[in-house]
Amino acid sequence: MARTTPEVLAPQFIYTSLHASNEKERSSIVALMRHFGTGWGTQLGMGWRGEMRRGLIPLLETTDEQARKEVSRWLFEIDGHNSPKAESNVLSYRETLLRNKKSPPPGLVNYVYDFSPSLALLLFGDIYSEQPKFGNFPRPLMWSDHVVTTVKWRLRSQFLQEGDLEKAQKELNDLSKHEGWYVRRYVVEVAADAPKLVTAEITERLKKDNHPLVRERVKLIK
Amino acid sequence: MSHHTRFQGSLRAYFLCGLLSLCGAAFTRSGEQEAGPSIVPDEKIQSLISRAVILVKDEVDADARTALKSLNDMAARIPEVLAPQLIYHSLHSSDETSALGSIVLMGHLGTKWESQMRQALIPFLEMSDKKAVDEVSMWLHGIDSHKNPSPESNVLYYRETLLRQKKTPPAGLVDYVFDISPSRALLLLGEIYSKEPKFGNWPRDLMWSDHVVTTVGWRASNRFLQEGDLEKARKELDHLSKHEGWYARRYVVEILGGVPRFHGTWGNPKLGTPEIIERLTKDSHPLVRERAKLLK
Repeated sequence: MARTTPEVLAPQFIYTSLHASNEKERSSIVALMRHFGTGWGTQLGMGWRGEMRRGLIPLLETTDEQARKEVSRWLFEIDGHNSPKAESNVLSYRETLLRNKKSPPPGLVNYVYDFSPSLALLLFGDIYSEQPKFGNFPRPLMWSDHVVTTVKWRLRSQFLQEGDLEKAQKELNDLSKHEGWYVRRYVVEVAADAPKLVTAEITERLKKDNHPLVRERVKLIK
Repeated sequence: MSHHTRFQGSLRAYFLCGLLSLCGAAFTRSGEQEAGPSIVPDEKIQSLISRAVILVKDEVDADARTALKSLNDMAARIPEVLAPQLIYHSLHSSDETSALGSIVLMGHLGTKWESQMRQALIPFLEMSDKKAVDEVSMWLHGIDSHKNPSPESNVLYYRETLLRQKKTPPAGLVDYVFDISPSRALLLLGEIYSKEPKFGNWPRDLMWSDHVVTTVGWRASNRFLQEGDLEKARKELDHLSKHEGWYARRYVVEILGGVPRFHGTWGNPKLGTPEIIERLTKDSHPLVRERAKLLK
């Protein structure tokens, strides 16, 4: 079934996982998912990872928040969150996002930003460019993200240098006015993760954003 | 004797054989360099592995399932005996099924018995057979990447072994941790060799040096170099190449070597100078000097 009808099997996994009556049952279903999503077949590079991912993607759009979280968790597992190869795994969503670029599916958008805001920014930058081409990340966005992530690391590691915060805030200020919703959404994600990097003015602007995928997420900023 | 007891008896026998072959191989002859461990094939275990790899072709093969069950039992109880046999089988695969089966089998056992298999494989990083060491490294990397694929975290699995052997650091394991992540290897060894080693207490001066070097490395790799960047990185590397800790000097070698073996693209030969390279090739520590020779 994982091979032939993953779209039927995947939701059944999620249902069973959500309705597990005890820890043992829950562990069993996770083990089963690992087997199908990242198990034997995947070791050979010919597993059902792609099929299971395809089966799970539509479920990200469920209105049931609990179920959505469960689907994300399973996809994180399949995609190997934090993996050095995670970047290539997020690119697996490129096709779906490119096909739906006129009305991006919010659940999937949330997922890729949860996975990696930096990569999501670059991926959407390619998708919404004039001539989308796999792996062709817009250079201005690459640089902006580099500046922001560098300062974020220094802030977290208590290595802030003079002028660092201003540099990051300037980048984020420019990005918060960018014509692409995905860039403004990136600013929201950064602001939620490292509030010191954004000014009150930026937050106010984002709260009034005209795109729901930006505006709705601003609630996360504390 | 029940089947279960007989099997336990066999496991004990394997365990003893494994220990003997490992100890025997590591025996140091007077005046000669330590040979390191070697792998002696065990006919019974090799046969079990050969039967189990059939699962690649036929997932429901009953005999293969039985063999896999036995291997699972061994992985849990005597991983130090099983791990080298898996490496041996993988290195001597004669056909596609066997080669693929070995990879799949290690993937299966390595993820199910992660900690046991990792500990069992570590000593075999010190083998003198480079091909076999490469194989062990690949398998360890597969195990490490499965549960927590972050290279930063994976290096930490080896802290205990490195701390215990800090007076004579095992060369193979040192190569492996630098292959996984030169940055994290620098910080981990910096902590281990500090006056009061404490898990996670990275030396701040090394953290900053690595930050400068990796930031400039990223910019160089992505054609974003800014004025003064190369000079900043070279200054850090020059300073580290004179550091009293061999691991800091080894880090410089890794950076100048370019792309780390498993991942990362930030190392860059452009960050070096002839003076730094010259200094490293004459380094007093073999773990620095030997690797530095590869830079030329």
